[in-house]
Amino acid sequence: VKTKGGAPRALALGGASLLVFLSALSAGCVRAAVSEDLLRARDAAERARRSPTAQSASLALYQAEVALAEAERAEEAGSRMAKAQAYVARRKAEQARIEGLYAAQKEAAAGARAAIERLRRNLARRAEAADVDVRRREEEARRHEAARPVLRQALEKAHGGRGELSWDQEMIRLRLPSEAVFQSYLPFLQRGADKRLAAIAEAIRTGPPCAVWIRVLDDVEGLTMDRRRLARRRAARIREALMEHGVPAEYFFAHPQPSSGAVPFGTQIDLILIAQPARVQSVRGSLPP
Amino acid sequence: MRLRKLWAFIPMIGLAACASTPPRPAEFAVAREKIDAAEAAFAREDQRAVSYLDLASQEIGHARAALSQNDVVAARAWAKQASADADVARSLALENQAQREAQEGWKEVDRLQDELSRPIPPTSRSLPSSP
Repeated sequence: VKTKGGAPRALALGGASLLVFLSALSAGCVRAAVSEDLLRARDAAERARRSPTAQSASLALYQAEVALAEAERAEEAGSRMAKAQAYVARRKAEQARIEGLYAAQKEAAAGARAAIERLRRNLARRAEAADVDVRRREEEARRHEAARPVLRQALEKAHGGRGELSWDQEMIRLRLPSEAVFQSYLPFLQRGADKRLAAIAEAIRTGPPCAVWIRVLDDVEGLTMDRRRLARRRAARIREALMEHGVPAEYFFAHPQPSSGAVPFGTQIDLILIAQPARVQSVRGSLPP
Repeated sequence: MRLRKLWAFIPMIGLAACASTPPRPAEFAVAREKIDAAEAAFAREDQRAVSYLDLASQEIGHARAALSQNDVVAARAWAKQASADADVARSLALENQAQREAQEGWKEVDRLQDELSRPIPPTSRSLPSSP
């Protein structure tokens, strides 16, 4: 319905309502806008919360949350102090994150200190065990040295004037002629030879631990076998006899046979006694894992 | 008579002078303490911490300037910011020290493990060998 002056009035009403709408909208926008400082503070708080070491700095994190809440409240006022509160909240969040890292580093340092203490203890134990090892070896060597003349005398007595005894720092060698022990051309013991071997075995048994190398040299052919086989059989027979008379099996050790062209001349039996290293407990084994 | 009138003005002048410099807010002392604490934690020697410490010093300067212009709110705001920066500087310095301590510790652990894995050097005493 058109009335006089109706159009301008309608226009005025429309303009006013538009103005009210726009002002309301702008007011809403202003209210919804958040300062850059507060956004940064929120970001920093989120980083601190998500930090893998956050649990180690719970107090600092709590203080950061309190500071953020204060900043959020102050933001509504929009003052200079609100800006400062947001700044403080951001720094508190950063501090919480750093304190989490600090706690983790302290924990790592404490772990290193404990490991250092344990390793030093182990090194000291190892050094102590090595020292004990050296002392045992020395004692063992002294005992061996003291027992050496006794062994020599016993062997001298055992061969009964039919052999030859020689020695140096490393070994004692008892050389017996083959005919004093074996029947001619055969790997069988002479009558009475077993008694002599028993005396030798006793001397070896009562002496310090040693390795025994039996070397039989025969440059004559056997009745039923060649000289190399005869020498091997005779060596095996002496070993059996010594073992029967109590020489431990681990005392004997094999030695490579010389090639056929390098067999020395002679028909003799060499019993070579070589010092065994002292047996002590392993140093490594005595350490804790 | 004139001289007596003049004497009456002197307390008023004094009061006016007092009113021109407001008292320092408590935030100043807190910020100063925190800066001192950061310096005591060797923040000046830490590359990351020193920038925060410098920031805190600048903010204290701003706070003083604001106070001289009677802007107490701005002065308090700057002082609070200075405190927060000094706190971060101190935390960074301490974290750096702890990190160094941990690194040196684990280096020593490696060295000791290496020493333990090596055999003990043989003793100089020679052992006699004899059967």
